[in-house]
Amino acid sequence: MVDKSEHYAGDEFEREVVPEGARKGASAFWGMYAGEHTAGTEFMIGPLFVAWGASAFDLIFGLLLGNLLAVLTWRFLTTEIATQRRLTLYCQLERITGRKLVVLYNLLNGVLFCFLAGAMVTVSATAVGVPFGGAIRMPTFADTLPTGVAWISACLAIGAAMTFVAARGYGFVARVGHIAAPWMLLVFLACGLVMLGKLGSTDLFELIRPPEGGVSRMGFWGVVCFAWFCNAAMHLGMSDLSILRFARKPSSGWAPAAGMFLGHYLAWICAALLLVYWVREKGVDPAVGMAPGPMVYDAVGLAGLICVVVAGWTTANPTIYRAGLAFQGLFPRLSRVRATVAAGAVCTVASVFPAIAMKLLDFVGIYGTILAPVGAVIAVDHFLARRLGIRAEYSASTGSSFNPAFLLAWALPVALALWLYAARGVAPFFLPLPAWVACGLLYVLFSRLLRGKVA
Amino acid sequence: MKILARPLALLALFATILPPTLFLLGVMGEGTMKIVLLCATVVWFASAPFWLRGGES
Repeated sequence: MVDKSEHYAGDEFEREVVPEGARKGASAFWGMYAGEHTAGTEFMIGPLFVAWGASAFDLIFGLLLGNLLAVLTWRFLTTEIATQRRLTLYCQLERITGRKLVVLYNLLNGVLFCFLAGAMVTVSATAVGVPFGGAIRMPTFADTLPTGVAWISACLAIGAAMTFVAARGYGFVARVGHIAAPWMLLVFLACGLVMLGKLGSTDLFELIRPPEGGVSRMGFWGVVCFAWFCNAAMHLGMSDLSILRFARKPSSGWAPAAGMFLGHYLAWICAALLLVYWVREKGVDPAVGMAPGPMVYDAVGLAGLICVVVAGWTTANPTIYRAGLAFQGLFPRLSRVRATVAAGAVCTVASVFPAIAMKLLDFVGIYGTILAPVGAVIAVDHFLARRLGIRAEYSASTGSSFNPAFLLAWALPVALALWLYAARGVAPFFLPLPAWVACGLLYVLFSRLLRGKVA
Repeated sequence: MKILARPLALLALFATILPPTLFLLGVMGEGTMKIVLLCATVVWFASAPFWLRGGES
């Protein structure tokens, strides 16, 4: 164990076990999770539930169950491994798979982070565009391409500003995000209350109903799976090992409940009411939808626009920063600033295309399907390797930089899942769990086949 | 300022949620509600940094 005094302030302990003195109490995690999961994209997800035909029952009880399952996964899977191993995902993965496959994971992670940050910039642009009136045509759920030169200019300006700030380090933005979190949550709640007032009813079961004669694309289990797996890369995929390894006790693993039940429950339902109002009172086609900026401005005025921009900004910046770090992992000679600027450029270009934000339910499912299975290998390695007679931490114990069993176990289920999505139209939020289970089973199988049983 | 920050910030939070509630109850008009919300936002961002110290490390 390394003494804390040997480390400089802000040390991240990227290549070592987090020492006793650097560990944190539960309160540090509750606030962080509450802030991180009240993002600008929540203004997109709530209305998309309505567009997909979810009912009030699906939302109220489906989100309750899905978020509970997500919290339990964080608590009893991710945090258990995080507090026993106390290593980052990258370090843990490298000990199992070797350096080469961590590079591949970094590439995918970095690119997906860029697209996610791009969606946040898109949401912010819908708010910044409001004061310009009709000069900027706002995208709808049906838009995949840029809606005009003015829209492109708005996205490029916001993306460039966010990249500039992220390149300078995100300490300031992290602080703004921390400070804004309680206020942002109340603005979400304010939107919900105002919409109930304008709709003249507080009966959610009467207000949130699938369109008559329309086909619902998302029922109860769809909502459950979306809520459970929209952060699959973080819990099942073990990305949050990097955060929760700092937890003094495993009980800190309950902290994601703050993000789930405030950001992914209350905020989503309030945001859903925004589109319910526009569909009922302004005749908007739910399938076409409405950009979040104008809806929030109509509900709570300028404070709402500030909320959309701040929520997008404070979550896009750390995402750009993390994408930069992932790219830096690919090219170690690249400076952090240049890596962040490269990530910001990709994110800004992605933001111009509304396809990602407007199809966020799909994107989030695909994101989890690609990255979450990696966590199954870590779970098998941690809990089952010795019992099943396969070598634990294969690369660390053999010195190999490439673990073919991992590559096959990861690639096959992900390829099959993506085929099911693209060719068979399976909703992507149903895919992370089967892909995760298949990856774990295949890792055991291929480890046995390629290397035999360890005595 | 530090002494005032906490009550001002709490007041701002209260002023963020009270007007929409009054609007729902039909007690406050939409225009007034939006103005109070904006004022509450300004007060929150002016006072909360002195109260909430997190996110620095």
